[in-house]
Amino acid sequence: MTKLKSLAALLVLGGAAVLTTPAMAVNYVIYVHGRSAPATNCGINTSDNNGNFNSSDSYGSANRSRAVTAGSWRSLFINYDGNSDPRTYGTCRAQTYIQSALNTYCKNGNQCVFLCHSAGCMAMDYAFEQGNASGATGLLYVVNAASASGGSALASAGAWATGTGMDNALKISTARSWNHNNNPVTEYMTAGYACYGATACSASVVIGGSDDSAVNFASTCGFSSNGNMTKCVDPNNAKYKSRSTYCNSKGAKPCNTSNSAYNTDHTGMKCVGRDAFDRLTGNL
Amino acid sequence: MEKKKLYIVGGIVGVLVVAIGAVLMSGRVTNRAGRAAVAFEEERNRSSSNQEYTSPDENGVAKKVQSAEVATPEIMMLQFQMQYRYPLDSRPLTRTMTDLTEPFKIQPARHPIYAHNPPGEGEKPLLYYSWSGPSHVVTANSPAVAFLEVFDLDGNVVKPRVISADVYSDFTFGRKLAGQATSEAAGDGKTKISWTPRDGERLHWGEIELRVLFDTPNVKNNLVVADFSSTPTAPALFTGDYYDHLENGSLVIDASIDVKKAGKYVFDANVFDQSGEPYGRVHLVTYLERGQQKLPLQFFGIIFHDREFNQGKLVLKNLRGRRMNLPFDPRKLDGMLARGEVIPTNTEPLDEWIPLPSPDYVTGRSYDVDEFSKKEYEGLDKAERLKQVQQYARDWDKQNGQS
Repeated sequence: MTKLKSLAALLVLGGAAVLTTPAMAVNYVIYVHGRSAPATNCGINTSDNNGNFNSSDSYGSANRSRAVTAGSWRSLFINYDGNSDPRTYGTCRAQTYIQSALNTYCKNGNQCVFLCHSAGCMAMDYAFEQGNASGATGLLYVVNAASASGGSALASAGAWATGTGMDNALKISTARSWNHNNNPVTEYMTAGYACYGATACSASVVIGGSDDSAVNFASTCGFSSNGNMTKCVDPNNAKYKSRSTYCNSKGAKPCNTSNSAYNTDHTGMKCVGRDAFDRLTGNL
Repeated sequence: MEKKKLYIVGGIVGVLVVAIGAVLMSGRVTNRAGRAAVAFEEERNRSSSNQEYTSPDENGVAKKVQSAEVATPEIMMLQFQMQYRYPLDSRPLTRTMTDLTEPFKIQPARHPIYAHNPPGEGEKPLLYYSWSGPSHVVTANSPAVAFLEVFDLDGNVVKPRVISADVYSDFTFGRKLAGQATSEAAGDGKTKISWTPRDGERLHWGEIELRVLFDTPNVKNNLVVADFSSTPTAPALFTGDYYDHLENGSLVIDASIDVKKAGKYVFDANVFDQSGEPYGRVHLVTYLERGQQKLPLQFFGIIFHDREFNQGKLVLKNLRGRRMNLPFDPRKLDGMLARGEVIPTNTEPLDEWIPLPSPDYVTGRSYDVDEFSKKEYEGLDKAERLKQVQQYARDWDKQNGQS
């Protein structure tokens, strides 16, 4: 009797186990910040986005991704020295952590999305140019918030005058001197066109075309040459490979369909990127 | 006895449950398994069969991707199809890709000059300036040349009087004064600034700044900067020997190279027809040991069909390459990262450019489009990627209650 009981229980349990659908892949959203102060907490942080990640772009609990809140995605934060050249390796350098993240979280059944802001997007494009995403078949796409991959006129003009490796890399001629067409996935581009405050707006006069007070549309929209673009969707100007302008009808700052961009400044674009990711994943 | 019957019934039910589950989890696709899974099964069958050639609708796909706010499995499949029609390192090239067809050109662009840096609110510029030039890459046999133009606020050309033209070293060397450039009038109101790096001079290596101080009749002491990527000592040399042939329906042009310094190299090259129409591009990242060797530049076959090539000789242009100056052996990087080892930090210029080859190479014979394969790319990475996209579809369907 006992044996029969055990056998029956085993069979029922076995059936239940088979009927259970296969475990979902683990999904990671990996944040890559831009130009900022030197980091004090270098590495790939796995916090739940409830705090300030020192030099990492702080999203804070108020700006937490809905996809992460829903539990279907896990967030990771790449913290590197925001004064350093984003094309470099080493301790507290962007390329070290990006490659480590691609190797660890974008392979072997895992799926990942990179959410980059500003110079963090340059770091991503450089990693692609260097072939560092080879084998990262779990990389789904990249969400670019105010990408500075094409450089900034402020860096070219020496407006920041800090003399850092980051500012050197952000000079337009330097930024566009390597091949930006090696991304293995679509890069969704989001661009801002507001300036907040006298200082930011005076910076805008140095930058050609529409801009977010730090970077112009030529870079943030993914165009393949520098110029004075005023619309993110512009058939007269070519874009780098697989750059898709992302116009989100939802979120805190909906897209302005007249120029396919967002009425916010460079800092505000971080949350636009977060909303874009949430919408793309069906969580907004 | 009743209990015994109950257990037997329970066991039979369990067996039935297992059997039903096995059927559902088999390759059979039901409505509840999700629409995306159906599409992916079809894609797997399509790409593995010998289907008729169909030209890509890249613009149509790009528009669909752009207009979709949600990355549904269908959108992910479209992106997959677009990306993996060709290998990731061998892609079509079109006329609009001027960043690739003229990779080194210093594109002219007007920039304002203000009295203050940064300018005050509402401050108007004093002048505009523009740089142009054939190449921002400088090697020992190819000096830095840049043309400076200056304009007044009405757009009229203003002739500058150059006070100084100083060369400053790469940022990693502390932006030291590294030399002087020469200046001369070049016609049309342009001023030609020239500088040649000295072989073996460390301060002439890297991202160099050319700082030009000039006066105009109305505005004094204007400072403008042009940037160059300079490599005075070549890490490798293209020998000028090439060999073109077909391999599995793709055009391969072997470029001979003499490597002086082993390391990680990044190469790019384009292929055009003799009328100047672009067809394809190659991006190659590879580790090279010292010595003479051949660099295989593969232009994937179907590209020539998609770009509507007909027949004729093909021209290899814009061949360029650089050695990555890394403070570690790049072949060991993945292992170092996996073991959590400290990665050494870059403290020197990143790039060492190979002198650009000249002239362009014309294939030894004419090719006909029918010699190139019409098959889409079928590499292992594509199969892996398809599996991942299928997983994405399953997860999506589950998340949205469709499985």
